[in-house]
Amino acid sequence: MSLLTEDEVYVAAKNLIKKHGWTIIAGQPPNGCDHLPVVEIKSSHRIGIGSKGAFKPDLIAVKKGVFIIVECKPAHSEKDADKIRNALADPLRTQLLYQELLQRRIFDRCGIKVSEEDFKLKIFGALAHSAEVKQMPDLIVLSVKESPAESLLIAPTNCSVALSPCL
Amino acid sequence: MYKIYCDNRVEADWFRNLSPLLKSAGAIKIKRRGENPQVIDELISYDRPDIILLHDDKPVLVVEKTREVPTGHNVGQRIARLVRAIEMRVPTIKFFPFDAMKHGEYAGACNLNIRLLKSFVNMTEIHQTPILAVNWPCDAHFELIDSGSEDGQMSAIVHDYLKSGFKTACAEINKQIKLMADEYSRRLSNRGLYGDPPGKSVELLDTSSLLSRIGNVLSPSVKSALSKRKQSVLYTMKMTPDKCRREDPYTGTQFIYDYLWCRNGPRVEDKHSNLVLHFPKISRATWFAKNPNDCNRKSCNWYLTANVLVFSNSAELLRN
Repeated sequence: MSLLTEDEVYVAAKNLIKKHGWTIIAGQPPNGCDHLPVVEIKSSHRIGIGSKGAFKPDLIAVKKGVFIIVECKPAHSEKDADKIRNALADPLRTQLLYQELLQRRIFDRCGIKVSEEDFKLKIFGALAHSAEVKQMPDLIVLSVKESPAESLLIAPTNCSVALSPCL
Repeated sequence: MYKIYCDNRVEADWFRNLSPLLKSAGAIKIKRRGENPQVIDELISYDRPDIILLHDDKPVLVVEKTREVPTGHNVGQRIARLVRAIEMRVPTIKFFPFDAMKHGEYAGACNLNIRLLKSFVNMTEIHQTPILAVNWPCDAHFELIDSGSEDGQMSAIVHDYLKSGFKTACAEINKQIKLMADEYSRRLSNRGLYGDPPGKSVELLDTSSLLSRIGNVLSPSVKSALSKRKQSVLYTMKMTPDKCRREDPYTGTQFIYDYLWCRNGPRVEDKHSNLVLHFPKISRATWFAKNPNDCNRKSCNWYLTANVLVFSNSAELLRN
């Protein structure tokens, strides 16, 4: 099975989540420029100038008040999975992400009304890739293929009550 | 037949949608130097632009797209790759915000360093090939517009140029050149200092003054070569030895200064004033160890246009 490249996964993941009713509100393609605001999830150890320890999610999307951050790679990446888990498990980092979305007026521009408390409870992670499907306990998997009809959105095995109505 | 050479599928898709004439254009990834068709390798010999459009295997347009505002010294970022295109007389467009919000702790609106606009005007005249700056507009809060309407001007220019059979004097290109000149004048009237060199790092000097200032590290042959032009531009970069292995934005900025204050013809030797790059904190040995003139590395861009590199202990004549 030949894998898609990282930017092909990005494009396919965008199409897949849009097909499932999500609205993409931010992101950055690998080594490129898209017409989406670029948002950074800062490290909780470094606030202010500089980006050490921070990462820019490939995509951020929203549906029914639920948010997902998506990382794209040709194949499953445990490193990306940990990166997302670590960010979402740290209340300071999700708070900084909320503030960044607020400062960039992304909520306003997309007509989203969400409190910081709700945002922190309703943000989840997703991995997009084109390799063999492996369901994750805590993360959504976007299994993308060259043909959009073959792409699948796979819920986590331990899907939270907040997330399940969106999948 | 059109072919879009690109670094990224997202950018190729965006570019294809700018004109219905590109609907069936295939997208091909730019590979490493030496692995592309010869014309692509020649165009990427300084650095890789985002988009190279071929028509019947001839380059007809180069495009660079970025969300970053070229402010202050960062104005030089990404410029070498565009200079390469117009040296090869391929019309070129840089699509970027003239104004946009910088976020973070020190958030505030950033504005274009207009020396870029002036350098594009000069490049266009010197190479008889348009290099355009096209604004990615922002809203009243300085956030970039991303509704799709932001592509209107790009789309108009690209479509008109293709439809005209690649006429560089087509209506939309002429309109954009006029718009750039007006934008330069308008912004210059607000911030007149940008009509002059940036005081701390660039000085326009009589060559005799330059020689008395730094002549102690110049050999007789370098002095003699510099003395052939009465005027010199001294661009000083105070990089330290541990942080001198770098290119951006300096190597792009050298081109901006070259076209603003030195060049009078299409060849790099065509200058009315010498361009001297000065590294007062770096020795010659450290410089060449960190930034060799190796065509497989971006550090080769340091050797593309200046007359002389001056170090703390000696100098290197690159060209007369």
